Amino acid sequence: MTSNVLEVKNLSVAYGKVEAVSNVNLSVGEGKIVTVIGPNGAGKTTTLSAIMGLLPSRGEVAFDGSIEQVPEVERMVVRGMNLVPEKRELFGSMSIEDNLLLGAFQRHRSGHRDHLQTMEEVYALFPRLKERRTQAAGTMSGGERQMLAVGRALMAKPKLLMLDEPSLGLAPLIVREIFRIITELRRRGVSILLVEQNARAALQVADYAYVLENGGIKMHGEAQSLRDDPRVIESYLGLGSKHQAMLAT
Amino acid sequence: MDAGIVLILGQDGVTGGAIYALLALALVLVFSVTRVIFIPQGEFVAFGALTLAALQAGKVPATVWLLVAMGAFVAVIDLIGRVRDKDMEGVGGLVGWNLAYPLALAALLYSVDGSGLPMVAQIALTLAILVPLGPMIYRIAYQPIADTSVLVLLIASVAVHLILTGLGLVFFGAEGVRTAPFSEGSLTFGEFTINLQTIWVVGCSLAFIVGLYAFFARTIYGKALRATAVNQSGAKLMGISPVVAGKLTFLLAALLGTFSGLLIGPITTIYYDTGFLIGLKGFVAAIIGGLASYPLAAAGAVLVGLLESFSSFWASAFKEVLVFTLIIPVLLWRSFNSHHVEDEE
Amino acid sequence: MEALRILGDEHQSLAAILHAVRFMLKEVVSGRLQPDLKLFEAMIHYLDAYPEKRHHPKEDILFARLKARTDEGAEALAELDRQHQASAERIQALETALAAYAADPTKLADFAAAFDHYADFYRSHMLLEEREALPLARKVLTAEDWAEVDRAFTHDRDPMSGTRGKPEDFADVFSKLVAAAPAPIGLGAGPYRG
Repeated sequence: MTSNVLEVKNLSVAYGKVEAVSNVNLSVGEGKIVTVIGPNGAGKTTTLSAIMGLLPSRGEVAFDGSIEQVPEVERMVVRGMNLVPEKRELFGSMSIEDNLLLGAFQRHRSGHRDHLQTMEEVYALFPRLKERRTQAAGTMSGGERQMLAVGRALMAKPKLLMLDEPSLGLAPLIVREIFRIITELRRRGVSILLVEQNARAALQVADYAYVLENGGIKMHGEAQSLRDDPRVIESYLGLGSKHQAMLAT
Repeated sequence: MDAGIVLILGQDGVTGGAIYALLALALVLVFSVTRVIFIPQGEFVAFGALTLAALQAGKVPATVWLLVAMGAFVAVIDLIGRVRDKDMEGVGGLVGWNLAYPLALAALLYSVDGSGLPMVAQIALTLAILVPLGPMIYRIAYQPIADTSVLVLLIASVAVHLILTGLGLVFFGAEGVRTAPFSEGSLTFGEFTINLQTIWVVGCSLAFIVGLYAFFARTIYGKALRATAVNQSGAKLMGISPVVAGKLTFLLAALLGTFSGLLIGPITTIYYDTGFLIGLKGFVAAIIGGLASYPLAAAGAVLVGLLESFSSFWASAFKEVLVFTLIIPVLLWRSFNSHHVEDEE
Repeated sequence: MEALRILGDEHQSLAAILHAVRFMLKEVVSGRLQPDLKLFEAMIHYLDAYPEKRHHPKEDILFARLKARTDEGAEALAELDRQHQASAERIQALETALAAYAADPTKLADFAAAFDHYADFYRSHMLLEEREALPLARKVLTAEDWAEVDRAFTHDRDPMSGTRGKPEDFADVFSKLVAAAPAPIGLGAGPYRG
């Protein structure tokens, strides 16, 4: 059994009196892709935000072997956790290269000076970013933005990369490419926590999967067994209804 | 009105404009990174000139005690927070900068006679006293309410402004001062004479502008500040803390404000409350730039300076009125032309 | 059951290309997009070569095993067989329409119609597999069957994407297609250069 990069125990997040996420347990094995699927509003983004320290939460987050009582975003970045948010949150008026450079801000601050080399690695993964490197991030198309958001996160050389809905709003062609790159990152040893509404694409690449509904984990298991699970097929892979097949893409 | 007068007025206008440009840049910077409209910017101008004047008069400027008091306050609230979170990392730096440094500076000021020092040392001491106040003000007044609305932050700014002006009266009295110029004398080109101080003002302002440009365009910290201004959520995810960005911004604003005071001190008589009016003119310039554009703000500053000097010739009683009336057409123009740039998907 | 994952993966690649061509054609027809003939050619070639060389042979292995196990679904499997046989002919028709369009830009409508025809055929083909054949396989094949099918599928290839391999590197081609396709479906780095 491999060790876990991330271990979340009894995580709960409340907005006021309403509990958006309750008692979520999940873990991400080293070098694995773990996906959290579920409908809109199930609490997927909330869960990621709490792990990253963007939202106050109760419970325990153990990352890379040590427990964070109160996850705090800056420290999580220093420790090697990185989140690519659903809205990408790029620096629109700044160049692509500057966006990437800022991805290495914390590494730079703690004395690392390897950002140019890392940038070349990112460019090798996303040649399109290199072609457009002097242009403002705000001029890019949706697919390019997602690539820049992932590339920027990679500049921090994360141990755990958390991706929130990377396929959102993108055409199938680009979604395929993004997911190909996600598997390539796993091959390079990055552990990935992938939150997706596109369950079909997510289960294709994941090693392990959780189904989140109404703020709680409803099912979990090897991605393969979930892929073949009638309940998952019925609710998330959409083969039950005729036009919803993967061809819905 | 002959060409000679135009040249003299132009010279005055550009000098004033250069100062307003520095203040406008600071205001734009502070607003874009922290959303604070930094009214106390002007107090740094006044304190700069008054602190330097006190040093030149051989007195210990009372502003050093403000530094000691604010440093102690920051140290106490931060230490309480650290103890509560059981986070003792970097406590040494915290105590060092907020307690040890101000006390050491105070001790130094009591042990030497400022009037005997060369001007460069007097300027360095003035900056050493006043610039650290910037981050401290951010820590005390703005950081606790950083997530509130622009209006709440503005109210805090008004409060800080009133407190600092009041303290200015206590520290320096109601008397105005004029500091010694950086260098005496003037240059003459035929009919036309330029004060050396004018050259200092314009030269230093340009140097600051170039320096700031290089900082924002070339260094990772400068880029981090821009990133915070463009998208704070995104910056947070890169580990760029809004607190660090805020403190760095206020440090730069305090530096720009204080240095403006040092530059203008030999030209204009500065009272404890002069800063407000000077800062407000910088604000008019910043508004011309929409509180967002540095080049427009700088151009606006020169326009304000020229308008001021020419109106003081034609209608000196209405000089301020004319300058501040400028803001009305500017606001109209901006409201018709503004396109809200949302930095979203 | 890695085999099922690979087939699903390949279906998604094909569906993505179908979507892309259909999108571009709509844009070209409405005059919003300058046609990139090389890109059309490359995508249609992908739709031809990838199923022919990579995808259908795998399915044939799976379906053969399925037929050996059960009589259930015989009708669907026979239909799928027929469709696999016929697919070469159908893509041929599409390629002819594209060639005609390349020679004569006024033939755009014909090419678009031919494409729609092909896309509808291929989508319903994949749908039939996903709704009939694959669930049946999931139901009746034994562990040894799966082991063997998985081995046949993953032999001599990158098991990750199911799209790598020689002599034609389909993953590489796919990335180039994504890069050259216009935004929002692609990265807009076109025109396509092989």
